[in-house]
Amino acid sequence: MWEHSSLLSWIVFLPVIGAVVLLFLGSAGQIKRAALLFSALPFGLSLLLLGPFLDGTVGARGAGYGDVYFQQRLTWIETSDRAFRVEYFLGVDGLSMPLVVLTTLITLLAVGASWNFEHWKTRRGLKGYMALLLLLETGMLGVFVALDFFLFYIFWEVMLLPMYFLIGVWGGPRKEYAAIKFFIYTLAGSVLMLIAMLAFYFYPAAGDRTFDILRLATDPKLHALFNDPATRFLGYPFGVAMFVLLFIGFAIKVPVFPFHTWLPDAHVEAPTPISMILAGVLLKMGGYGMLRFCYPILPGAGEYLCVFLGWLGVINILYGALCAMAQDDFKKLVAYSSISHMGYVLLGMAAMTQAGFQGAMFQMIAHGISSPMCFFLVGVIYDRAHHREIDRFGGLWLSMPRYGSMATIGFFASLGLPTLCGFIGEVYAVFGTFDSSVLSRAGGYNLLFGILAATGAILTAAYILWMVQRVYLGAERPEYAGYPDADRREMAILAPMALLAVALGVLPKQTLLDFVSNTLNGILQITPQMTTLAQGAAAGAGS
Amino acid sequence: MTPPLASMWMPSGADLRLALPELVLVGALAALLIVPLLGPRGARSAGLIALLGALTAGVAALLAFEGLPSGGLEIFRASGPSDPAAGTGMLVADSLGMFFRVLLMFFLMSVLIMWSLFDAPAERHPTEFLVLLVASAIGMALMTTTVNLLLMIIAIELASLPSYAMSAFDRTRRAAAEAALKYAIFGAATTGFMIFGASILYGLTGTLHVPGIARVLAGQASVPGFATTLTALALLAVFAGVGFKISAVPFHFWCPDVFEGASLPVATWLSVASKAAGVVLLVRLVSIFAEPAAAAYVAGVLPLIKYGVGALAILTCTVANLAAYRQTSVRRLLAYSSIAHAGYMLAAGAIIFPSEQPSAGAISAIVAYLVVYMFMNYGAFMALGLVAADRGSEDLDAFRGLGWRDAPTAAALAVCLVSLVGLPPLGGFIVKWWLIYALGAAALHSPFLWVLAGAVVINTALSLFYYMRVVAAMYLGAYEETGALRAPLSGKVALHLCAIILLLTGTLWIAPLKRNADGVAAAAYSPRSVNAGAPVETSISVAGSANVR
Amino acid sequence: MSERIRLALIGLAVLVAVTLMGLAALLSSRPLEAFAFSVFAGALVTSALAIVLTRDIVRSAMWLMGALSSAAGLYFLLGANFLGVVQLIVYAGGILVLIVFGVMLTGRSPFLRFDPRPAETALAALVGVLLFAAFSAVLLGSAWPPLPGAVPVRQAATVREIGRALLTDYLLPFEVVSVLLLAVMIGAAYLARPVRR
Repeated sequence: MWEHSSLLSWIVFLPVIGAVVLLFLGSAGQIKRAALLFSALPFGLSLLLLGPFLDGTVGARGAGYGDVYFQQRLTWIETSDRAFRVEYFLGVDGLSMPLVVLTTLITLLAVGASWNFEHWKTRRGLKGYMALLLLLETGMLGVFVALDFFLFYIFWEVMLLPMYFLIGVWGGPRKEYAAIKFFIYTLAGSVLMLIAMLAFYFYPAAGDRTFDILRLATDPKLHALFNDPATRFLGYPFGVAMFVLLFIGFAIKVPVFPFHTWLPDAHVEAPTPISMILAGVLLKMGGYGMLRFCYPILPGAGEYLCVFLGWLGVINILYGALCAMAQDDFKKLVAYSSISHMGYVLLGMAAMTQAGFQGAMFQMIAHGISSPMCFFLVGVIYDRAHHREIDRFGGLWLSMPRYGSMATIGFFASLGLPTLCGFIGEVYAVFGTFDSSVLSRAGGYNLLFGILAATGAILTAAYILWMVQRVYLGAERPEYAGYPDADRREMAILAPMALLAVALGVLPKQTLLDFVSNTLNGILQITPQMTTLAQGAAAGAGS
Repeated sequence: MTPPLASMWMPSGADLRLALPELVLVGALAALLIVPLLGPRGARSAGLIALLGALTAGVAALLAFEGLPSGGLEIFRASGPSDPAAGTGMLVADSLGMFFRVLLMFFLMSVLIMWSLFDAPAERHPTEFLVLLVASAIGMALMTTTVNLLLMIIAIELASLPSYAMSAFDRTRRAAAEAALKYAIFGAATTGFMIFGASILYGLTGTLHVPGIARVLAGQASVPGFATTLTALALLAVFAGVGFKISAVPFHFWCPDVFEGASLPVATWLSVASKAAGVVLLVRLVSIFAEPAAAAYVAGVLPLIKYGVGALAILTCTVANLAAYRQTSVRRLLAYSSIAHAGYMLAAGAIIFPSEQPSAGAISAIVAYLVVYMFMNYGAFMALGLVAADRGSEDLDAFRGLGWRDAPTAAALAVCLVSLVGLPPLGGFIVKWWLIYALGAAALHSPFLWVLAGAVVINTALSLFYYMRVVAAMYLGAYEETGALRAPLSGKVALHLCAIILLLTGTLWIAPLKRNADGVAAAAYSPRSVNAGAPVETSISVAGSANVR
Repeated sequence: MSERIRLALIGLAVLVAVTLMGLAALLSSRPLEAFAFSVFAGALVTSALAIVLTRDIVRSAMWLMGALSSAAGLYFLLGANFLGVVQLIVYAGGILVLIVFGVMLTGRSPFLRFDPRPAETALAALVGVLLFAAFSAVLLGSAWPPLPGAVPVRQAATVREIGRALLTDYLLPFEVVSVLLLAVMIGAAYLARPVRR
């Protein structure tokens, strides 16, 4: 009963309808209420997506990768000779469903966080702001639900322009620089995807050409072709070349170490609600893309490159944590902590084990909840103090007890305290790494990476505890004594995230892992069929 | 030797009907010169004559679509009984040529509208200007339909010489004269090259008929090594002339200066029409040489040209995009942008070689690209004109705060610019996609094209920066509060139409655009079908023209 | 060295060169043709060199006339009478006079000198040498006469044949050229008119 539905189209395009409606509204109050309505509706509808996952349909099916629900499939573009066919193909599986719900939730909260728009430094153009926010939501949702590569790419790009304006117009002092940097980095990465998309399309024989993402991964003929070491792209093994092209595109979004420099700028300059979306949703697109494209379609290359990817993951964890430790700016600290946290995602994927993949997925969702929360917490205090220097704060818990409690939950969730969401993801990812047969086969890297990643957890604890101590603990400072505590609106935004952080931390299986495990294990089942690339490449190197 | 009967050498009625668009334009040219003598002078009546001429010519081209055989046919065939060139045509009438003429006439009308908005009111010499404009349009129309080297060179001259004069038309501006001189000298040099190349080809093969040249080359059993080099040299010299018209990179130096010195309508005209004509001519030449039969001989030459054209394309878009970074004048920025787009289109020239199917794919990509490119460039130049009319400056600073002062105009310009970058969901993305799609399809035969496709997409990312500088000026940053643009309403309407068309071609019209472009490409001239005397079969469906309007 | 001696030396050199050419020509089977070719070719090369080496622009133009006329002579030798005449009328007669007038009317002094910087000279020399090398390599190595299977080109079209070709087979280009000339005439007339402010 969950197979086919137009529900996803409604979820994806309701925000666009909302954006159009906004254009005809006048007063600020109306605009805000309409934006809230049109972000609440997709959230409500997206909860319906849980259906097949809760009533046991998915579990009973037990099918692997390629089992999609709420499908909608129409022919969109077709040339007269039928050589080219793009479908409007939407659907969710365990991989995308949690991210869709996360996206609608975070956008809803971001609209709530924009309620004090009139008090921002740049307060012009509320209508445009809300409309762009809703357009952005459509782009993000489309990325997660599109199952046609071309459609995916369109949504991926559509998201860029609203983000550019949201950072560029309503951002902080260096907003122009941050906005264009974000734009160019992301575009540069995504255009490489175009090449990969074309190569995937044209390498198979004429009858087999498709943009269908699921078919690219599950069709045995295509699978054999893509993962055959004899298939060459400009002289390189096809699988590896495509993996790298796609990986760069996604890695910029994650962001992975050498491509990360846009992130601190963009996060710091963006207004609070946009930072929440950036950290909560946009970074996840990179991880989602790797799990959706790189690993299912090119498992052989994933295995071949596992050490390299593992190193990148470890560098992300350690480098992000060290950078976070060195920051004076509260928001920058949270931004660098994102880099560090996303390193676990990368490492978990590189391990190519069930625990690793589930850890990566869990870490994405957990970070999608904890980091928007952290950004909002920073925003709350910035609204009052108008600065973000960690050293100038102190004793905030005493002056703002409710806010202080929430902050503790948020930052400890980010730190990875057991019973909070950050813990599960990190532990799974690290365990997955220790367990990883691909890493151990490549020369015992599983132990090294596991140990380094575990060290990262210590660094994380260090910088977060140090920050909490400097900002929230200690003696009350007179200049912050009179600050009002978090008001009802702020609590309403913080509470759901706090609740989810706890729920995910205490009941990880029921809240997430049950939903995702089928799909993720399915991806791993694709893998063993095709380990020849790694062997072939090794043999090639030997000869 | 008796002189041939008139019926043997005078063009037939059918030929003349197929050349009706050019004839109408020549008529308009005459009318432009004669009517002022009879009474009505002034910009208004002259503009009206030109507009009517363009409209009639466009309609004539549109009607000529009907009944064109697939594969086209050669017209104005030589008939001299003793002439070696007997039986070969001067022009071809095919879907591609007709499509281009419709596009060109539509664009000519658009430019005339722009001229009447910005230049006409103060113009003292409307007749002279319009004669030059129409004459260059005739030259461009001929460029895209000729298959004779001699006529090709004359057509290029007919397109170029009036352009030199037009770019110096504002006699009060010294920069304009300097730019025009640069343009003319460059033009003369490349013409010299082209004639040199053409004469070598003639010497080698004894004919000026391009398919004939290809056929002679194809007939060679064994190829003396240096003849290959010589052929390649000659072909490259001919391509240099075309490269100059589309301002491909080593021949591009005139372009920014001329665009800056010339008036806005002239710059707009050159940015689209001249490049479009050059690209279509190049595609036609290349596709003739890529005929399978010819390809067998030219095996030695083809890779050279293919890599040459490909490298030229990469060089062109990269250099232009990098040079655009430093510009503060939006006019110069758009000039470099047009060079970059010429580079993208040039990339399609490298596709045509794998002698199988992809030829149609490349032509289709170019056709679609030209349609969308025309709208986005026209929109950008129109917006530039509107802003300049209001602020009296074409610098980036003139655009500051436009997004808040005049939201609709700014939004429409933003659409045009983002489309020029090539981002979805706008037409600019779709046509670039078709281009690299064609590259990908052909890359199966020639992996080099992956590099070319890579260069195109990376340049897309490169170009983002400078287009977004304009957008950033409009929306981001400080500005002074002033009202909406004081600019002609019809200009704004034209700009908005461009923006709407770009939105539509990027979403709902993707499939129709592609279908019609495919239709034009599939029925384009092919020497094989013409010279084999293939039966004249189905006429292509003229849905092809629907998207042009 | 006085003017007279120098003139005498130049005359002597020319005489020696021509005599040598004559002697060399006698060795060939068609001595007159060979001799005429040597004279025209020698004059062409000498004047071309002189164009480049002379600093005075008017003298340069005069040498250009020598070069163009010598080329016309070569055309006549090849039997391309029409081309030779056109060369003389259009280039030597028209364009050259135009250049000289242009120099005289625009230059601040009639003895305008042309002083390129060393770098420019070097660059020009480099380009020239490269082009020369490329062309001579290609031309010497090429398969002349035309490729087998090429449409035979008749030698030395007469004026009559050219005229007929222009009005029959090449009627269309001919007409297009008339449009071109019209446009150019209008453009030139407009640009040449004094600016009214």
